[in-house]
Amino acid sequence: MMEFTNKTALEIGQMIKNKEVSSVEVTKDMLQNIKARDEKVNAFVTVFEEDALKQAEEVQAKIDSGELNSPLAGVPMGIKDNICTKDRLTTCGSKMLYNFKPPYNAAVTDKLEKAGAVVLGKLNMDEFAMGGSTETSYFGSTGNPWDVTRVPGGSSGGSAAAVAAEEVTYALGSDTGGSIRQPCSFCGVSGIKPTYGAVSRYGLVAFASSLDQIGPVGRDIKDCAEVLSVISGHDPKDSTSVKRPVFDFSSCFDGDLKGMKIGIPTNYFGKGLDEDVKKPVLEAAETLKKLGAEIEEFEMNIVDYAIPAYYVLACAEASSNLSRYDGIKYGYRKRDCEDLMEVYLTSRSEGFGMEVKRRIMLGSFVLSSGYYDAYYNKSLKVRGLIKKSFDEAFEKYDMILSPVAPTTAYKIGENSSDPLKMYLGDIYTVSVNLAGIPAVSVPCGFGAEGMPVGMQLIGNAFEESKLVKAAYAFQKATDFHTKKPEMVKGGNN
Amino acid sequence: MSVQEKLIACLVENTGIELTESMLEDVKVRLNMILDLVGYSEAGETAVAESKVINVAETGIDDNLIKYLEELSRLELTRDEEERAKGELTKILGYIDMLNELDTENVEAMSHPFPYTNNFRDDECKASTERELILQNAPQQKDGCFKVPTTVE
Repeated sequence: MMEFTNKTALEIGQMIKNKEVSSVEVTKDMLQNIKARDEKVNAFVTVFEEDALKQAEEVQAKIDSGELNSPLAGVPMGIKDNICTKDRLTTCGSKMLYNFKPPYNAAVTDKLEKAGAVVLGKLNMDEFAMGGSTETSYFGSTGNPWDVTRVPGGSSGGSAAAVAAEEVTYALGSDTGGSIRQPCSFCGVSGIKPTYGAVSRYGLVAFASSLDQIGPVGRDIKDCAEVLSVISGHDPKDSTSVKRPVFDFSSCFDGDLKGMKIGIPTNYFGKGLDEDVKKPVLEAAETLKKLGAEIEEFEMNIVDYAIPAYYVLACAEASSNLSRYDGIKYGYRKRDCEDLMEVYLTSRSEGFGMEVKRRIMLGSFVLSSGYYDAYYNKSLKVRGLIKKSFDEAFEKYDMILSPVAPTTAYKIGENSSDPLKMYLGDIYTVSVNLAGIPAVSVPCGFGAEGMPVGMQLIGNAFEESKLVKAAYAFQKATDFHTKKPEMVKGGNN
Repeated sequence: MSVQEKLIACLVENTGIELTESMLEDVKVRLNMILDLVGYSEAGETAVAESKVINVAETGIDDNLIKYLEELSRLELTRDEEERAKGELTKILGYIDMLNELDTENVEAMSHPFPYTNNFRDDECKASTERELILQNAPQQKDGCFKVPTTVE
């Protein structure tokens, strides 16, 4: 058994088409994996066992009748718990939304379900996507399938862990400051943070609206590209989604990088970067060179200021976005309050965890009168400088190669008492969100303790194709993305 | 200008409606009710604003400021949480202060990755989400409305 669950989404889709296996069978196998492994991993907040089996039957019928022929039809997957699923729990990893069943689907949920996705359930995350370790979830932390005493990264930790543990074939995550890329690096899977505006945010619970993007997490870059081509495109319900044709990656899979220029920012490889990470990423540069790419080092000092600017802006937007949780319209409400103010205060104070409170307060501070210019406006200007320096880099290079995170996955609890230290782990990822540009994270090696390491390829706006092409060539030439954690290798015995 | 006056000026500017004397009175009464309801106090706001020190990172976040932030955030922290938050926020703001090393004198503030202007949908009449669906997640509801504690006697 379990001969399907280690396959890629595109392989499973093909097998279903060839009638080698049915969607229901694959779904059952996946549910079996979840039962056997998720007690340890805790990648899921909610499993839709009945719904998923019903969905698989319906999808299979449509495949049989020829009504559905998408490459992903019938393939079981999971969705990060901040993306709305109609009439199915969407908690955002928070007590505040512990019982929230959205009356509508997110645009991406609709698109995937129309393409025949079977939704196995909702994946764990840092509360309201605020964190880099999935430890701030109200529903408990998620374990890294490579070593369950370590974090899977975050905030899309459940998405990356579920793919690595073969509890889903692929997953959706969201990325506000690295929340897709960093967990992919920590769990040895692939992911794409698309250009801002490439994917509709309708139905994504808002954290920082000018930075948030939904993107795929998968076994390899080809799966991720397929998912991205399904979920991308303009949506009239998201006025920031850009009017351009959906992605077509069909010409990206030749494995040839001749003529491609890749820049390596030297200051991404200086102080603070673990040797464990540095070595595999620099080796990856050599591999890309062998595949025909031209590699050149350059300076990009401005990114050192990305973390402070990011935290000011993300928290400012969060403090505004999270003001909607008032205990009245949905979610957690403290009972028996005397007046309206007490409803607000007690529902919010009991419904939000400490990291969320901290960020709301920091956001309120930088937006408050007297401090607005010194913090918020200053950060907007620094954001402009960061965008400019990326623009300049892309005049010279097709893409930028960098680490995803300064370390491999650390122990659960190791950093959670020091918020600033946690924030500093976002050093290589946040500038991408500030600039609104795309980036991919793909496995490129392992650290001394056997934990996976990912590399990041950053591209210019809407040049996802170049990133997919380079990542595909790299994965064709290497086998890091095919390595499995022990818990998966051993089956469920 | 008081907040009330600012709101009215903003209303007039955005709607282009000229308010008669009696309408103005009515709007004022209603605005005051709303301001009361959300617990807004002009005196409190001014007092805190005046007591502020400009370089918070150096002096740290004191009790007054943390209380003010709780008020702005509609949060109530326990004494322990307040102490922790004071230390943590001071440390984070100290780090954020490194932004002052950068000269941003002639840089334009960038609130959004790309310029978007008036990305409107076609003006078509469509049914909105049904009331029942919107209410289905309400912690308390009554007669097709969200139910809250008594707000006006």
